[in-house]
Amino acid sequence: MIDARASKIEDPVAKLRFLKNTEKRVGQVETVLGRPQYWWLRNKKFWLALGCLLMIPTLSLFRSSAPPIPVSEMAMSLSAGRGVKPFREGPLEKVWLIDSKNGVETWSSGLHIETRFSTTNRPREYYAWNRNQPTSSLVQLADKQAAGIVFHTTESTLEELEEQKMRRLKLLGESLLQYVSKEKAYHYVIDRFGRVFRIVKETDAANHAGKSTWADDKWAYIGLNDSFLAVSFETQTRPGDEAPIISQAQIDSGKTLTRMLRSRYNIPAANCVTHAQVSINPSNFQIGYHTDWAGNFPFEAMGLPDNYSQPLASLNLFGFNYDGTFFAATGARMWKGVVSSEDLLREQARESSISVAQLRTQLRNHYRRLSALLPENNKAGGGNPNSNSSKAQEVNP
Amino acid sequence: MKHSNQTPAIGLDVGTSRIVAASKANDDFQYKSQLNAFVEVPWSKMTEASLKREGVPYVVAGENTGKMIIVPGNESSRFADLLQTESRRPMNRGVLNPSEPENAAMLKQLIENLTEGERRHGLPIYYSVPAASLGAEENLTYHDASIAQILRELDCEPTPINEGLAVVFSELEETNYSGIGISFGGGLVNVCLSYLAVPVLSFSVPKAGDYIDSSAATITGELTTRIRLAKEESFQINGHYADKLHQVLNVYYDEVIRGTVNGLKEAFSNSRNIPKMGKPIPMVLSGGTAMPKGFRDRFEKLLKESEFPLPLSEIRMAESPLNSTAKGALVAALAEL
Repeated sequence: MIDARASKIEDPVAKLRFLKNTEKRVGQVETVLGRPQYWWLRNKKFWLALGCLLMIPTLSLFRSSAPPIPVSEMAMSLSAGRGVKPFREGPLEKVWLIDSKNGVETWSSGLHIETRFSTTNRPREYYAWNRNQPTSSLVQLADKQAAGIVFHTTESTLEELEEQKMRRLKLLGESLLQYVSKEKAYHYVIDRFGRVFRIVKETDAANHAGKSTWADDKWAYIGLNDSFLAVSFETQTRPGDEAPIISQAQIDSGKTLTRMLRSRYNIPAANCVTHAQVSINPSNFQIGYHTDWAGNFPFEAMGLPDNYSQPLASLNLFGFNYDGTFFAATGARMWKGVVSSEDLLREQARESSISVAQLRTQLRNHYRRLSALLPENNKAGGGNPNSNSSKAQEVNP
Repeated sequence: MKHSNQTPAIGLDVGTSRIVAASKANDDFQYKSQLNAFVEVPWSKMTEASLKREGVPYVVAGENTGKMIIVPGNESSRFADLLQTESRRPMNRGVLNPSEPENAAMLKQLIENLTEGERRHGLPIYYSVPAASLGAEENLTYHDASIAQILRELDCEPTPINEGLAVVFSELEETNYSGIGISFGGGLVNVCLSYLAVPVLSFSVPKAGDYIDSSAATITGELTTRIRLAKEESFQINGHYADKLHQVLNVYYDEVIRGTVNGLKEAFSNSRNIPKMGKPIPMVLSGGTAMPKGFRDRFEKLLKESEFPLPLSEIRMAESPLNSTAKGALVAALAEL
């Protein structure tokens, strides 16, 4: 039928347009060719049936003794694609403060935190968008606890890590710590020797991420200075496919600190990401304004899954794009996330029967609307950014 | 109403050997092409003067002692022959050449030259990308993203299209875009089976024109640039050899054709999506490697011997083998407008 109708169209472009726009054609193609090998991946009824089937053991009390895998991690392992080992971890052990004296905190996990450069900043207040309710507005989250961790590099001057250069190494480290403390730039800095320094109090925001965005299963966060903690390693960025400059002592401390922060604030592994993954430039809608840890952050050594595989919220939720700078700075690992973001974008465009370009425009407009509601962009009013309400509060445009 | 002569879109065949741009003006398809190669020589006043005198387009790069003259595109082949040097290639085996540091920069330069006068903000450009090789799960994302990035930097709106499918869109309009399109390029042979414009199965075979050139160059001791010129000027596949070079070319052409036929048979025999077409479908051959006289006949003979599982109505050459991928990409772009 479709074939016969197409045969009557003389203009090749009009014919192709007709064929591409005829939804029935898909059914006809499937009838003639047999269903595609992975038709069930796209079939909602199939997944519904499978879901019901999987619920039966639960209802029949045949419960598995293993703890359920958090949805976020399951999604992450799915998005990681072939060849990536699924990340599973047991519950994080509780960590508590044992002692605090002479400017050093000792934690039950063996972590030592030096506090002599500690400072305060404005209290943490942040807003997020519930991505499962696309028409919703920004809401202020009530608990004010950090939702994630952003890993940075200090980009400071480095000296070779050798014993005879001790004086110079110490001098560089001290001046760096003084500087970041003055700038309230991070929550933590891990120096070349693996020493952990608290800079900004965990309950306060730090000026670390600038324009940035990230999303987990439920919430999309815009402006991570307030919502995410910042852990910075005293090092310089290397292009994504090159080996990073990081000492074993820094890796060990980074792992212990990450586990402590995740344990205290119940931070999902999926929300522990690098600055390059979250940094954006809304003036030209490009991602990767900052490119620290763009492809060579040792996630696994930090006890985390390879979060580079995760889709970037900036691309698939807010319609950002990437340019040559980002391309040059990032490595193959980061591209897994970029590719999965673009796959999601294409899928969404297909479902909405619009082009990717049109979808991107819509998403950008959505980003503009949401970011305009943030207190720093919306000083004239709308919502109450200083509210201490115990419930999530919606910001009205 | 005043009609604009500007093309509404561009189809770009980004091939290992050539880049072809197709545009449309006043209902006619127009093509421009450049060799996807360049030659770099140290700068000297004399060299620059002689290039100017000969009217050869060139770019001067670097400064002071590191100053170089780059001759991109069509003239690079002649210039390489003149200087007894090999031209450099931004692409290899269908994708960006990883051992060529200037790959993206030169590709951008060539695309910029080809689309000069047509480019404008947001111009849709559909560019060809290869399919993954048979049996391999190659990651073509980097190549795809690099071309997209170059086109974005040129202020255009890029969309990739499978090379074999582009051949189908160019040549198989009469069968409502059902059939098999094969592009015999420099780096790869790209194959796509389409049914009513839906790509059902696509893959590439890694032995193509460059394999013939480099193998023949190894045997004969000639430069590949010279082999390429000889191949384009006087070669035909007929089993009679005028000289050693022709004999060698025949051997390697045969190997490439056999490789493609085996690939076709393997792909269509192993696929779970073997089409149950109601009627025989056409197969169309395109690309520079398919140009020599006698290619189609030899291909048909070997395909028939292989007991290819799909019934074919015909095996024919594309109307314009060098331009069909670019034309198909343009047709796809126009259909989306």
